[in-house]
Amino acid sequence: MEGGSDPVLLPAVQGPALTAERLLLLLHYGIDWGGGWAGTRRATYWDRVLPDRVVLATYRSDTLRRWWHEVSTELESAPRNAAERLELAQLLEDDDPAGVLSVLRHETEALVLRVRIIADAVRAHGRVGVTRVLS
Amino acid sequence: MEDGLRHSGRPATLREGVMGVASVAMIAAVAEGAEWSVAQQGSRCGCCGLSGADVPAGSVISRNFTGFDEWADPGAEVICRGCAWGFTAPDGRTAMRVVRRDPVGMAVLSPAGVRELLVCGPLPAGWALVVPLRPGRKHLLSQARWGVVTVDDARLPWGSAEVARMRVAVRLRRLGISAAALSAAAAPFGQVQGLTALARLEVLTLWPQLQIWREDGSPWMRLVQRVTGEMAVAA
Repeated sequence: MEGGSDPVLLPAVQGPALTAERLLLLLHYGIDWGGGWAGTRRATYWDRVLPDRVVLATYRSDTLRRWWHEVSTELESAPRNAAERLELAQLLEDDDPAGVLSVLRHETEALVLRVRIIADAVRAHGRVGVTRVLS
Repeated sequence: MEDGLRHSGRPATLREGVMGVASVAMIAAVAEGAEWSVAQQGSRCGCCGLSGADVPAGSVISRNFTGFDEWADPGAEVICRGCAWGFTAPDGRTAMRVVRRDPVGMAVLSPAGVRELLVCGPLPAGWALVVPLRPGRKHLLSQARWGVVTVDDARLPWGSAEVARMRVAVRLRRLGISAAALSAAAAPFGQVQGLTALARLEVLTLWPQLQIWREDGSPWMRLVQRVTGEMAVAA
């Protein structure tokens, strides 16, 4: 989803925040929008469904892997191809899983907003380049 | 008069640190040449706690008054002329005011005027700013102190950190963010969706800088929303 020509500018994030953002992007793009559970809840998906599930799953999980299992099961999301499966596997091996879970729990709204901005640009332009700008 | 403050026309003869904000506001408010004396002697004012009180509290305060918990001495029988003026001035509970001690000056401000003052720099020690957040609810002038912004139930120091945050808030408003949204954990998608890529980047970059003011019921955030609520924002 990156590398296209129409750039999305976002403030730079790194470490746990970057891992959390990439996990949410994979989660979002892996959702079965056709017949799945989330597909019938589009109206409240961004404001309620996604942030609520992301946060609740952090309370039910003590590992990142467990968090992904909880949230991807609830939202019926799965990587769409081998590249995404590989990326997911790498993200779940993050050096600071507690840090990532903390970002997912405490910075949910800001995280969801970034993912939504990227998803919106992708929907409008197809592939987009995401440029994370150092402030 | 070039600074926009109303002057008493008298040289500053106030004893440093003795006179309360309400007293100075009173002096600045009365017409030049009129009776402006502040009692230098007398008991301590039950309201602001400074000396020079000679107005019977009962002549100013209604029997139904309930704001005694903020008084220096709720049992006192006299208050100073400044506090008495603060309680009886027609716009005592609604006006946003800046009061200056030396030289004596006072001005009633619009939200835009307060905003300008709050972004231009730290509030000087000899100035006081009074901003009723819910106009009509409380008499704030008697609660005001030098060097701070007095709002309902709080006195806010206004140093360079506050100035910087206020500038961020004003910038976010100019970029199209609503005053109500400033207290949210993240910018509403609907308000950033239509922005240019650069403007949106700026909103997202500035957003965390107001985090410290986003705690529940933060008086700083209520002040920001009060004085930026009526800002004209470019479409």
